[in-house]
Amino acid sequence: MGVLAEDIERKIVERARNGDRSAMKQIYDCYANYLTATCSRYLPDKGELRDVLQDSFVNIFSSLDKFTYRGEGSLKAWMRQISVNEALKKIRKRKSRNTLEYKWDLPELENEEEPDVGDIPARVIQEMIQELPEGYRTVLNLYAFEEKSHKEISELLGITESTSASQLHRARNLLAKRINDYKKKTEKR
Amino acid sequence: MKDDLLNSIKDRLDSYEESAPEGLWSDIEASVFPKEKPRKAAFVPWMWLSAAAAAVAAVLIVTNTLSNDPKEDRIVAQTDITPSSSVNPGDDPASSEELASLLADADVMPVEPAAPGRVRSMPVKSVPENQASLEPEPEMAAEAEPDLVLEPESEMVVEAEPTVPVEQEQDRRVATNHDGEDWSGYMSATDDGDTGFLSRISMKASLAGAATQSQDVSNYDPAMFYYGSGDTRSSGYTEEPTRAFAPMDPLISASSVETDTRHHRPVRMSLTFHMPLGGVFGVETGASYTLLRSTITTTSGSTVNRNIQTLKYLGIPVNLTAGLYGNDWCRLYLSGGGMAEKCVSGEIKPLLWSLNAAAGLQVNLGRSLGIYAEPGLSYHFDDGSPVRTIYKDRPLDFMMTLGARMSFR
Repeated sequence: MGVLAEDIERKIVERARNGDRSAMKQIYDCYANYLTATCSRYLPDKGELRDVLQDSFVNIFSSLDKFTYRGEGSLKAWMRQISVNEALKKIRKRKSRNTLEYKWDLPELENEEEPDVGDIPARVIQEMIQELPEGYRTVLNLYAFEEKSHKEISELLGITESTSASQLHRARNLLAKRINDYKKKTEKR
Repeated sequence: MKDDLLNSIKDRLDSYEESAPEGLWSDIEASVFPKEKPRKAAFVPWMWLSAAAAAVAAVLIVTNTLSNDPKEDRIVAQTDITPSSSVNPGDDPASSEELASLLADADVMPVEPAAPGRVRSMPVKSVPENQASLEPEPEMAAEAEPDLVLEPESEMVVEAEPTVPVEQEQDRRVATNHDGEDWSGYMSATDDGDTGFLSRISMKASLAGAATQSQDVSNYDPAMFYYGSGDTRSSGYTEEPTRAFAPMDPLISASSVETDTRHHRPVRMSLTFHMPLGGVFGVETGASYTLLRSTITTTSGSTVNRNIQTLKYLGIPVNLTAGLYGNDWCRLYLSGGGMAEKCVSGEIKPLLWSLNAAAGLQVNLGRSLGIYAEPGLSYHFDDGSPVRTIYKDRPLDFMMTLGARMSFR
């Protein structure tokens, strides 16, 4: 798992592009767990996650001829982009069926003390993000992990920029509170 | 992004991984490579060879079954019925089994068959002195034209379309007319198991082309028996000439009773549900509808009676299938199994059981729906009813099934 050496990765991509099944399997083995972690931050539901991962890989393998290798990490970033797009597609599809669910707002929280996440296990932080309300979670993911601006987020999700900023603010506060709570809980032990 | 908290969260999770869902790769593989290579590889040359061998065998058997077994179907019988004995021409003909049993009663004599159509013309030609006695019967002059044999214009033609055949009482009556006579010589003369090779070949050639219809003829014709259409090796013919010629009274020959039974090719439609068992195998069941039609023509003197017998069967087949080849739009497979059928348009009470083997081609109309054609062989067990059908006359026969199939995956 992880990242393949540049030369090897370049060759594997070339083989996979030509329909080599074993090369595709190597790419899958290398990045499936990473993309699973990425997508599950958007879609904690196992069924939806599986659908999105499958669609993502099918999309990745069928679009390899559009991918240009630009050194180490470029394949990973490209695959990540495709799978995040698939996850957003899934979320938008669900929202269009059930617009009421897109009521994200929770009562404003008091500003939390800025927590330090240094010693909190990654799995715990991942779960905290997954437990956020979907609207908060989506904006936070796009802003923090995909480094999108509020303008881009507003376009991606069909919301206003101010809504995006507000959602992020609330998501951040909620996350900070949970981190602080977690730290208090673990310190007591 | 100038946010320490979010930056540190991002860094913390940057290389975070979670186990991918079980079986995800195989799903992806199935989507990226929809045509399963293992299935293609499974269709190795020996399967082509066996499929070809099965097809050749099917063609041979079909040809064989289309040309009626002379021993059973080409029974030419003598029943020297006098006009006063008044055989009811409206009665149905005897089944071949019943005729065979009548032979034991020394009333009906099987004679070596010749090619269809020639059977009755031969005695007329070979024994000219008897033509005079035959002339009053127009059907006797219809030489070498089996299709016309029973319907000269001068004859009275009676047509009926009963769904259920009439009880075959006629033959019993025939049998009782000669209980006192000794026909043992003719019995021994009859070598109904020894069929002339050439005549058999000619029948095959002529009938193989008419795949949509089968025909068999049962004749009760004194002239035919006595004047040499039969086996010339017949010891009875030479050993007891006086006895042989005895019935050649014009009155008696005028009472000849002939039966021509033509079975139309069965038509079978099916609706089938298919469930895969794993690998290339599957099991299927459903419902099938079969239509059997036979035209039975009985000629006695100048009276012709034609009955069209229509039987409809509903059946439940259970088959095991093995896929030979398949792609998105079609599937080639072998199928074998059994079927129970119930006659729904007549008074045949017992269930009809059969075994079937076929090769089929299915064209897919959707993911789970397809239409198919299945040429194959079927073997029908005797249902014990007296009604004569193609299943009875030819238990092993070619069968074409057309249908629609729902496949569950």
